[in-house]
Amino acid sequence: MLSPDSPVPRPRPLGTTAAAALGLAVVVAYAWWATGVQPFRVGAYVAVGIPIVIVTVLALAPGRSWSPWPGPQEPATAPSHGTSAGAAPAPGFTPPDSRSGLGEAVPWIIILVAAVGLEGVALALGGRSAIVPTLSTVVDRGLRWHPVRLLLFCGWLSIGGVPTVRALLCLRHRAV
Amino acid sequence: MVFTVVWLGLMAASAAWEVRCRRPGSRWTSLSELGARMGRGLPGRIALLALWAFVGWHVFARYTIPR
Repeated sequence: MLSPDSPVPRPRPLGTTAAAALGLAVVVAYAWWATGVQPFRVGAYVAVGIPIVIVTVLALAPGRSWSPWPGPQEPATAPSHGTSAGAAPAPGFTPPDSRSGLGEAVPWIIILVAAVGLEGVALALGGRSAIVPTLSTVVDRGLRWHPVRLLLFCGWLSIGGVPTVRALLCLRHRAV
Repeated sequence: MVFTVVWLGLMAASAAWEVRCRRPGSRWTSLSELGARMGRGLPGRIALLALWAFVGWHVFARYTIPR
């Protein structure tokens, strides 16, 4: 329920919603095709290579940043994700600079060390050990089902694609 | 089998911790924030891109379904 002080949510323009829905449908259709081709074939390399090329070109183009926060050279008032143009951050939005210490990332370091250690032991045992499998062996078991492949592929696409699309939208904001 | 469960546990813990970190007012850094911080500079962005591309290539173009 909205309190009297809560800002009234503005409805998105119909064109934006339709374009987002269309884009999502295209991505899911592409992912369905890409996860249906046989691995180790040209089709599989092309299906994975196309998004890699697109994201790489867009992400490495000059003036683009994956960061939703202003970089060292950018003015702090530049419109960025999480804030509207020139406005204050949303309540509860904490820019990462305010918690830049390594201490706040300790749980991630523990998870990373555990994963790297486990992967190292699994690789030392030959990579296909039934006792200590590698991460990719565990993931491969789920890949026998097309819907699981589709879900993982969409997740992988979103990890690379969403920051890139956000950066493009931020650039459009700045250009307007 | 035990270590498969350990892997699944690590994945679940990562997902749960990311959700916990993204809650408003959290003092912990989320994985997406770490990635965003890395992506500010060109070397970090290239490293992230390479990691992302390797994962996609390895998992979706060169997977073998165990018998």
